Amino acid sequence: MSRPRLLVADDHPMLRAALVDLLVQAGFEVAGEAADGADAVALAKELEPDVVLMDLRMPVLGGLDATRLIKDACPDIQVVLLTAFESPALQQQAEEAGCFAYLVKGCPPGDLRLAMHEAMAWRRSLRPPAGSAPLEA
Amino acid sequence: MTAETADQASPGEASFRLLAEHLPDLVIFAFDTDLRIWAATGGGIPARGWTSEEFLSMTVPEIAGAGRATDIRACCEGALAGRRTQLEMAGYDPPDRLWSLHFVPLSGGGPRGGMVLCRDVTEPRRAEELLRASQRRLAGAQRIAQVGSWEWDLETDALTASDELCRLFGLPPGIELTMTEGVAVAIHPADRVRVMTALGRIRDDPSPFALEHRIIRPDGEVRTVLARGEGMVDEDGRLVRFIGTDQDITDRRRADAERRRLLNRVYEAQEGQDRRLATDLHDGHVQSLAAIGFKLEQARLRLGASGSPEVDELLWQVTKDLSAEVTALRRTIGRLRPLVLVEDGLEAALREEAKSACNRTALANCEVISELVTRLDPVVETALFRVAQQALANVVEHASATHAEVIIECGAKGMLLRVSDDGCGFDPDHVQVIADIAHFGLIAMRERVEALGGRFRVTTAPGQGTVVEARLPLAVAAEGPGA
Repeated sequence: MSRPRLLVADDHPMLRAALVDLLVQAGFEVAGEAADGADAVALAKELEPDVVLMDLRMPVLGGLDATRLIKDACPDIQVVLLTAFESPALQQQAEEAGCFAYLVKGCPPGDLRLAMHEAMAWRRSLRPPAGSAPLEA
Repeated sequence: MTAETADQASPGEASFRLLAEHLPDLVIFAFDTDLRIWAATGGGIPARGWTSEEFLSMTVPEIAGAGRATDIRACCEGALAGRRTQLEMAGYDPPDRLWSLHFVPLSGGGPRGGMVLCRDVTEPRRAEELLRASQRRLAGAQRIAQVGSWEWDLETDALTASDELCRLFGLPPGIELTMTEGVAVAIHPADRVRVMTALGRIRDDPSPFALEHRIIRPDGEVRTVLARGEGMVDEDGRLVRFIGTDQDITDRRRADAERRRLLNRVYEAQEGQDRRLATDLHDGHVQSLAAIGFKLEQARLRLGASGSPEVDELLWQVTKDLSAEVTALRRTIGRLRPLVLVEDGLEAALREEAKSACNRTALANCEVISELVTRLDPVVETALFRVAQQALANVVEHASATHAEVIIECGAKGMLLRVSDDGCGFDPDHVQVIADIAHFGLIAMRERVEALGGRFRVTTAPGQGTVVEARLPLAVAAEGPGA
């Protein structure tokens, strides 16, 4: 089985770098990095990653709008929202936008890895990798 | 006319002399063409210890003394010439008395001459002067206090206004108006119906009333006055008139508005500062700390099985502590800049605050009941949210409550925010509590509400829970403090 492919979108360079390093260390393949929502949408369409780790507040296009555009274009791509804002209202908006999970910055790093793996598993259950037999078969 | 000649007087003269002698403030002198007094009578003579005889050898001008002798002589000669004159002069003895002298020709069949009727007017003049001084003081006090007084006769509708009231309304002193005319002439058109309605209501109720309204002066200037009054009843208990005052409170209202404007600027500046601080913390420190946390986790993963369990445990503990600090920092940011308030409005923000209050204390539930159907002005939303936030913080920290409730009511006159709890309450009059009031944030809450022209009230008692209420006028609630 190929390594899970990720796209990391966050406008904070230090945090983005730390996320990439941690996720690579955890066994993920980081296919691309984006510093704003518009880049994230473009890269998601181009790279078709399994999961996008998406910041909420970003220049040009926010994380929620970017998620909607990605889910419209590529419904199978799973989006995990990572934000500094802890708010039930935001969480609901994230769910409505199609996010798979809503994580708060400062959460235990184990939670991040767990969410990414769960998103990956859900992604694979939706679309089996090329060459493999369909689940129903 | 002397005692020696009184017996020869006619019945009319006798009656006159009898009357004159019973008037203690009256002295009458009759004089001949040489102005020499030939008769002196009147109750004023014995009342002052004088005798008629002591005047008989004198001329009238001699009585007055050198200061007024010339005036007196002219008046006496006028009387001899058939003219009636009057003057006032200081007393003969003692000198602090004031006399009014009437000079009249002496008619009848006797020798040509005149008569001086002298009346001691010291007391009436003093009373008049006291009355005038009192009126001057009253007028001065009314002018200084910008208060005019009025009287309204319910039967005739006549309105009697003091000079200061006329000045306040820009009307000529002494103007005669009915109340109906006064309302039509002076009351601001926007307040006229309200004033007429109030006047209609008080016609049957003599209870004291107070009514604030605007007036328009003839020069077009708009002033704000506070009318106070109460009804007066006659001996049959019928309400017959109202008396009252109108006070010009324009400057006070302007000062209030200016104070509210400045307070709002302070709050806006404070909110702006909080927003900037929250943005700095969010965009900088939270991201960096989160990144450090992820790097620590990465280091822990790299060490993996090769690292010592102690180092792994230490890294895990540091990561966990850092995570807790970031969480605390995020909550601080949330307090500085409640994102949900900005994006989703007051009701959503209150629901989150209520939920947070339940998480932070033994509060079993905190219900939010809202009649809001639209977003309010952002300044109003922020103010009401801050009041509710402080009230709920008090519930969490001080009330030991099990149930709390946040209510927003929207009525025809305005809106009401009420935060209540079933906790321990406190005695607002207790001296030891006073020092803590600022700590409870009550002053800040009150100022915040009053800055928007609203009213703030705390109802509490030991063991009775606490109710915090903020009422805002409708215009402010809908359109913001500039409305």
